[in-house]
Amino acid sequence: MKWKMKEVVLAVILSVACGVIYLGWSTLWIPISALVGPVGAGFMFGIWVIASPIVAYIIRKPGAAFIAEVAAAAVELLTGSHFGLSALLVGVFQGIGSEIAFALFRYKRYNLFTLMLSGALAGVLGIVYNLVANGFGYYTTGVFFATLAIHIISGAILGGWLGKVVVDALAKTGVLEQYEIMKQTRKKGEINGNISRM
Amino acid sequence: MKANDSFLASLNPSCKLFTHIFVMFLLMTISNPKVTLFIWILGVFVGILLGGWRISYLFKRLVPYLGFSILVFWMMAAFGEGETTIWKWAWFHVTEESITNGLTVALRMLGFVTYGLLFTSTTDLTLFIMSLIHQCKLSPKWAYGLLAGFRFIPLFQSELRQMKTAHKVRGYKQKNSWKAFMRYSIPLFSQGIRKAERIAIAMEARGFTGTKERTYYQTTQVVTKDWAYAFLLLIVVIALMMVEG
Repeated sequence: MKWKMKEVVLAVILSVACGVIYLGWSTLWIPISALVGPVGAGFMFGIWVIASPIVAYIIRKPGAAFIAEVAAAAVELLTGSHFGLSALLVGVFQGIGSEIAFALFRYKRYNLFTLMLSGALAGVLGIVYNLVANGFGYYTTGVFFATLAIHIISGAILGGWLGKVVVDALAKTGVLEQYEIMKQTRKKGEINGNISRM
Repeated sequence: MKANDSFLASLNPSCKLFTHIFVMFLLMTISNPKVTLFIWILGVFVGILLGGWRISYLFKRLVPYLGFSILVFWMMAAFGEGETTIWKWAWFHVTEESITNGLTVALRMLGFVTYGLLFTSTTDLTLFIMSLIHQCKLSPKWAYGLLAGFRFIPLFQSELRQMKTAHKVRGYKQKNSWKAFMRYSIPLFSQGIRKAERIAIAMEARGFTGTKERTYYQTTQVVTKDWAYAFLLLIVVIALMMVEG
């Protein structure tokens, strides 16, 4: 499946927007995490994986979720994240996580379930990275599993669900008419229309 | 992201990036706070000697990150696993083991930031993308797409400011943050999408097809000094690990 030029630019620009949001979110996250620890701060995690569901939901191509997350992470690095190179690498991991969710359904299903699954899997892979790089293995077992659970839930809600809400609101404004998401919606609408006419 | 005129700025961007990422991987394998500290100090010295960092720049950029790493240390110390209790209050539980682990992880994060800064403060964005095309075989379609997209970072910022001012002039008061989020993000995204479409059409109208057969105004190469920098840095890091580990 070849990417059209406008899909490439769209994916990049949406990722850039998400990257700017990530940077702001990182600044917010620091004071909270110090106070309530990794478990409490985990509920904020989901925003960091929102780029994948948004871009994949609009463009619906293999690789969209991965590219979006990596590009957003790169923007966070370039604009001066306090996670440094870590921001880029964790983006690679989260991108792989979200991509798996869409690949499982052979890039055919883009509904609330797959989007939330993509956020959740990004959460799991994010924890894998933190285990390797940020010493999450040093936490007590209870703290670790609680962190994992909260990341999954947060990824599903703030990543997948919120991503869908944002894109659906964007679709209503009419700017997405030329992209895969509205093409498929129109196709579905035609079939339904034919059935009701019959 | 702009380059300065230091030695590091004259190196090949991709080569530099991969070297620093490799140092990062090495940092991940170290669980000794002392070695981690030395590798971080090495990064700072490379920045001062080869990266053209001034002391004032160092303070301005690294001190906020220092604060962050203290918080990371605290998180690991207070919520980490350990036997020998030092201090306990409410849900905080500090032990000797967790303090060592906290130090390692905090210094490691500082190292990540420093090596990241070594890259971002000495690399020109356009050259970096060009080097991704020439050295990493990134397709020009994506490379130029990325270049166009990165131009949007300042645009998004100024647009958000404009929107906030426009709301203020019309007497809008932010009541709940959820509504404010949707109010600002939807126009921001939809403007971005419209512009993306226009940019793509403009690029295609000027004959941009994104194929690999094209000529370049700027090209990048990997030369001897790139290899020299990569090997020297890695050798010093590995030597530090051997001596102290």
